Amino acid sequence: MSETIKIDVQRYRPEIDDEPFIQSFDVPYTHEMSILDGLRYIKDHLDSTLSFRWSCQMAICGSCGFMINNVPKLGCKNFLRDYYPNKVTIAPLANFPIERDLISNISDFVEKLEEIKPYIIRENKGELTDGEYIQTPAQMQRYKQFSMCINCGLCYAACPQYGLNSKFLGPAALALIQRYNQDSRDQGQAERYPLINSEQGAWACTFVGYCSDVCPKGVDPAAAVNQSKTLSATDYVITKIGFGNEHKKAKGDTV
Amino acid sequence: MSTQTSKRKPFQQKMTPNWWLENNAYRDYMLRSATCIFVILYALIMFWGLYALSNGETAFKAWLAAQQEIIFVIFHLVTLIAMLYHSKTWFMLAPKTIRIQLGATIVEDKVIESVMWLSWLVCSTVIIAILLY
Repeated sequence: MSETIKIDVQRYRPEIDDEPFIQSFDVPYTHEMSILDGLRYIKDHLDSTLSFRWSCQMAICGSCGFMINNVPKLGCKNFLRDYYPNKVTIAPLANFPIERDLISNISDFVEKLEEIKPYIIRENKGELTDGEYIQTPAQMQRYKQFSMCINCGLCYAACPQYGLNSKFLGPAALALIQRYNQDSRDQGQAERYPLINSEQGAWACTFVGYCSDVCPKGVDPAAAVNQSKTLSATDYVITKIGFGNEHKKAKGDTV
Repeated sequence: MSTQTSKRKPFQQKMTPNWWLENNAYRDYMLRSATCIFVILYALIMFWGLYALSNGETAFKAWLAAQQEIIFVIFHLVTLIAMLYHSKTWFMLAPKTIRIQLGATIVEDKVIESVMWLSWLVCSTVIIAILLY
């Protein structure tokens, strides 16, 4: 008889249930099975009504974020062997509303990503014939780490500030602001500063730092958020002494 | 026209009052934050000393004598430990707030952290030397 592992899955069926409950499954276990493989086995062989998101299975799409033994992780990047012979408990990402079973409603997170204008803003748009905006490796290095985010939402599930106050802009959105503000091709800092400086912006972060611990791509959102605070304070002082947002324009003109 | 209604009923997850006991990261954070209690108490004791000083020599000596009481000695020791822990946590966090880039290379976290510890060592040595001599 093959080895099995017990997987406890949090279920929530809105048409039937008033609140989530735990359902246990015994799943045939092999060394190479990911958490996601375990869930897929349950859906294919044990209970086809189980709902969860997944897609690429290579930690790129960011779809399969779950609370695995109460820690936000990607289902495809973590393996049952790291828990075997103990049981694994899988629940939807914390701090988001649960739509069904392991599916979180991350609309609020996505809206926040859109809100920060995550694209290169140019004050003086050149003609297409002028060619691309050239960037040196050193200039790219300034923001590259923060551009690795896959929008999986694990950092929001890890953030108690977001859990207590969902108006907080949150780790990934603030990291994305830093990603664009540090890009030498971008000239949109002045448009993003009101968001960083707002009550629900960078200053609502109390530097718990768990967002960076759980990030599967090494983005280090806690670093981005707290570096934003430095820029925010600088912006405040410079604005106070009368330079407005003029200082930000020079950044993109150094290439 | 369809009469079917939506079965949607998103379940709102709530944080429990003991959320900070869930993992070590939260516990460490709360411990770091709790050190502020000792800073507040220490500041109040310092203000008390300042007030005593403004009331003359007798009052100030009484305040100094109070600081020799075992309860205050214990408090000062605990505050020292709390502050050392607080400093350690911020030295560890410093690389996240300070990003130094030399060309295309970003200075490693351990370098920034080491500079913080070195600065602390130099400052502490100077202060202790001034107090002793």
